[in-house]
Amino acid sequence: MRAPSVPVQVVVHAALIVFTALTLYPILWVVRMSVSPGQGFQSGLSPIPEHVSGEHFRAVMGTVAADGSWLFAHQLLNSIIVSCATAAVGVALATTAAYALSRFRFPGREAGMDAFLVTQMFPSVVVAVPLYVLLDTCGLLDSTVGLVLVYAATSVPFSTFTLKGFFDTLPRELEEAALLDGASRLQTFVRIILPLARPALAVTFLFSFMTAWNEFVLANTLLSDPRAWTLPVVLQRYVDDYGTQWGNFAAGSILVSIPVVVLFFALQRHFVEGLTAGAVKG
Amino acid sequence: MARIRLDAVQKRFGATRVLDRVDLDVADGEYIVLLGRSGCGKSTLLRCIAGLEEVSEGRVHIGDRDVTDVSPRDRDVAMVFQSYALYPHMTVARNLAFALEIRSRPRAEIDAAVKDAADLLDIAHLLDRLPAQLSGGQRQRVAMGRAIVRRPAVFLFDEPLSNLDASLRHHMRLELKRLHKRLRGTFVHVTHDQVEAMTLGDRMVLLDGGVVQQVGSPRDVYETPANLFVAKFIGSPQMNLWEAQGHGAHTRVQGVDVDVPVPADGKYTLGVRPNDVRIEAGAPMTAKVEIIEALGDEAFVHLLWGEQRVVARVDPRTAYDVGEDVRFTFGRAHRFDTTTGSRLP
Ligand SMILES: Nc1ncnc2c1ncn2[C@@H]1O[C@H](COP(=O)(O)OP(=O)(O)O)[C@@H](O)[C@H]1O
Ligand SMILES: [Mg+2]
Repeated sequence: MRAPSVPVQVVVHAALIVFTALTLYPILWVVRMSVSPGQGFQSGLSPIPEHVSGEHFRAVMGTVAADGSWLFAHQLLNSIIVSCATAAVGVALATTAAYALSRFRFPGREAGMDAFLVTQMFPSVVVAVPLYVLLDTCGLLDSTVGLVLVYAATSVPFSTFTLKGFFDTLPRELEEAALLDGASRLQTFVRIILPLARPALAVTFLFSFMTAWNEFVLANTLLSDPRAWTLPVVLQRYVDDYGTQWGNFAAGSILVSIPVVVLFFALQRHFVEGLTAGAVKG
Repeated sequence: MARIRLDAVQKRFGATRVLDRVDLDVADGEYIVLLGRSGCGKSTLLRCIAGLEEVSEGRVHIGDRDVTDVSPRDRDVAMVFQSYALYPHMTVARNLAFALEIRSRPRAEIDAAVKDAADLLDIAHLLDRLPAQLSGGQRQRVAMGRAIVRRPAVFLFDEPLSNLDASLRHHMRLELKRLHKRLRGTFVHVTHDQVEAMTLGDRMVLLDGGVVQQVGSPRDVYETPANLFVAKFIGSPQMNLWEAQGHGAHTRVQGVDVDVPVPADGKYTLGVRPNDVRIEAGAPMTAKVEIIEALGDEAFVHLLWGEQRVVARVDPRTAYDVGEDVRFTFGRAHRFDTTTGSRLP
């Protein structure tokens, strides 16, 4: 392929720089707020802080529970456990379900897929109260297990649809070749299908993780004990009717973003591979 | 060892009947070619032998076993798919080794078998590559390698050469023949290309609309086509065909008296291959040269014979002029029932 001409390159790069700046500006602005002393809302256009202080980070991370244990650590761990467990349960169940839906014809297949769609139609505020009652009955309020169950119930259908779409694009002949080579269904799934599905699995995992990581409405309803809170609930406590602690809120937002960014970079290799693997003809 | 026998095999997809009572007996070590137009059921028949499709009715035998209800993995067959179906995430070496690894063969045996197959197909230098890094011809070889590495009793090839360019196809035809000699397996090869069928097959099976039209050696099929379909399908250019009417020693084709080697009574379809149309001075029939097709080592002249057309194969060194009158006669002629299409004696 010929390289684009110089004027074209200049225009393209200028446009990219503008968009990057537009995207980064609000983030830099939050960074400024998080390191500037005081809880006031910072006005002014410049994203460069005038004074730098770690007080908000210390305040957010240094919270202590009534019994003297380190509260923030509990809450961070809650978020990590809930999000990882949701993603893991979601991907594990969705992968097998999606494969079955893509490859087998069985009674209830169509109905099952329709039911999956229906579950996606209700906003979480609608289901919050019934879920509260359900979890209360099961004694799962304020528990990690309860929250993971609730999150997985929403992430499995979505992940299943995404992965089914992917499996539908894999040529059946690959499986037939493996079958003739002597592989069982399970061996074919593990040794042929799963390795090829790696990019799709990475995307699905990241998506489930982020949905759970950012979820606020249900977590806020189902968790009342501060030691059980996840980070979005923690963050929200800095914004209340009597005045918002903007500095703490900004510092908290940045802390919450870091794990997602790390995870994204960790999985990025698989996404990029996925883009080129699509070009390989079976 | 690995004789293949199909007894009245039928295959339906819903209401569509794709194979209709197919009987076939393939001898152990035979190279048989299934030939037919696209959509006639060739791949389906092959997949029924492999077990990738369940037959709707009938039985499939491989060797001494009735394998109708046996899983493809236990039939001891290997297949080369038209799309090759190489595992995209595995190197060539692992693609070749996969079947043996699944069967938990010892490492040394696997390595030796992979090396043998790679040497045989001249792909030893490609073992570390991924399928995406191979040319079409190389992928085709790897697909064949994957089939031969575990020495199955039966090899199934679904249009293995159709994705290759002409010169490579010719080369691989020879290679397949060589491979068959070396491996002594039973080969079933599906193609829509009559040249492949004529050159490769010990016998060929002509399929049309899911029905077997003729089974026989390439020579048999060419010399004595069982019906009009086969007569038209085999031979290039196509056999000349006319509606004919016989009265004792006289035969007329649309009002013109013709001279056929063996006259017969009644209406029928008369067929003469371009090979068997002889242009010579003093011959009984006359026609006008319309087009001359010179192909180097052979040439065909298209003649206008009243309202009819005649194609004749001629010596390319003999010069003909367009519009010139020539005299011709028939060597061998075929007769077919006009309504049923079947061959008449
Ligand atoms: N899985 C299937 N479902 C429905 N129809 C099929 C299926 N597979 C093949 N067919 C039909 O069967 C006929 C024969 O197909 P095939 O065996 O692939 O033909 P060929 O290999 O000779 O080109 C075609 O008309 C095709 O549309
Ligand atoms: Mg086919």
